[in-house]
Amino acid sequence: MFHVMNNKNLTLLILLLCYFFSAFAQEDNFKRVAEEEEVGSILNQKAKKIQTITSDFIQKKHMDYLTVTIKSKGSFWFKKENYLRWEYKEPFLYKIVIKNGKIFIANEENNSEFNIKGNKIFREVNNIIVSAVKGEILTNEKYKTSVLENTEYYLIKLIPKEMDGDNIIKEMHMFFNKDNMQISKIKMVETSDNYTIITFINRKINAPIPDTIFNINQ
Amino acid sequence: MRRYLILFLISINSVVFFHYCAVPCRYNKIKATAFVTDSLQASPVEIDTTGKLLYRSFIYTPKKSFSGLFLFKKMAGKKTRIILLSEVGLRFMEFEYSDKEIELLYCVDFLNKNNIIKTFKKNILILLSDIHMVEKKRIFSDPGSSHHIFKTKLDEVGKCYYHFTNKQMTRTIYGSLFNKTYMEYSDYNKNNIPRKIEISYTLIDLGFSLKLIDNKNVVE
Repeated sequence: MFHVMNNKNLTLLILLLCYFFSAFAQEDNFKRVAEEEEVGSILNQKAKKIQTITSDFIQKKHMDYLTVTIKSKGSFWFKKENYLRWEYKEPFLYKIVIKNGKIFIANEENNSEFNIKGNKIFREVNNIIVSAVKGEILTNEKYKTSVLENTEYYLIKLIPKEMDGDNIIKEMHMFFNKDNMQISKIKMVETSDNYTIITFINRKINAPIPDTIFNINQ
Repeated sequence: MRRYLILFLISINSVVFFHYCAVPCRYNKIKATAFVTDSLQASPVEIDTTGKLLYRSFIYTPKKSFSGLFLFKKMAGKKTRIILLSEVGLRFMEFEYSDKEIELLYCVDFLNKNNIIKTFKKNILILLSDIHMVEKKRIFSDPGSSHHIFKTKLDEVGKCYYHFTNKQMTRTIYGSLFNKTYMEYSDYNKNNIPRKIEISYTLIDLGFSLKLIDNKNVVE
């Protein structure tokens, strides 16, 4: 097709394609926030009032180069200081509980237990989630952060300062709803540009959560 | 006493020998027949027109066990992509299969070990290779029975035995005399896809279990 085009048309086509892709890269017209510290301070203030979070989530794993999206659903519980339960219910069963410096995992077949210090991936995931819930995400020393906004969300982009062979996640995007400054969705971009979007729904703040929820066998 | 010990050793040896034989003795005695191979299932995993299959996967080792997801995606031409993912959605491994050849496209550092990759490659080759395309095939068939065994050869795997019952694949066995890999297929759905695939080894304490996620709304 290209060999029949003259140079002028080809340049125009390339410019149009560049515009098209750069528009997508902007993630729905997000613009850089001038006063990032102010956003950090609001997040911190809001987070101080949070004792517990209960929420459902929908996860979509996008592999655009394969035209494949994998959907899963589950629930999430957080209790201050560091109690976390992340549970997939459909289409598979998979539970992760993080408490007292340990990670407990259960699936349809068996249970396992790890020390959080010995597992880099879980240590990082726990670090990010706990920082986000505590409103300390912008002061996390392990990531370069930038704050963007559109009419609906503040978008905090996290890029690891040190990338080594074990780094699977290239960027983490956290979308905070401007109305209540609560996290609405998380986008994890992999080094291959595959990405996963986790959207939180049916969220309850400071509803009582019994400690038994953080028992993996529950 | 010594006579009993010798008898005991002989009997143990016999048990071990028959256990490790991939093809039952009675099949070896039967001449290759002109069985119509076209009516048989072509490969353990035949991806249908939707071009996508998702399996829940479990890997068992003596110290730890892991779980995740296995995605099979048909691509243009005769290519198939096979991706191992974590439940959270992180891609751990990606292979491309095309016409009896397999290539590793991506592997996360902690799984990037020769023996792990080799094991995955062999298993995927068996799961996707079409037995009609594999050279040096020979049929062992028991007349009057619904059981048939194909002996085939794949470059990276070596000799391989495909077992059929009622034209449906039930088992594949490959490897050397004392180190065999058993791949069992069961609980077929209406599209002739096994809902359950179990892989075990005679010498290595390692096992794989794949369970089909038979819900079309999960993979778009």
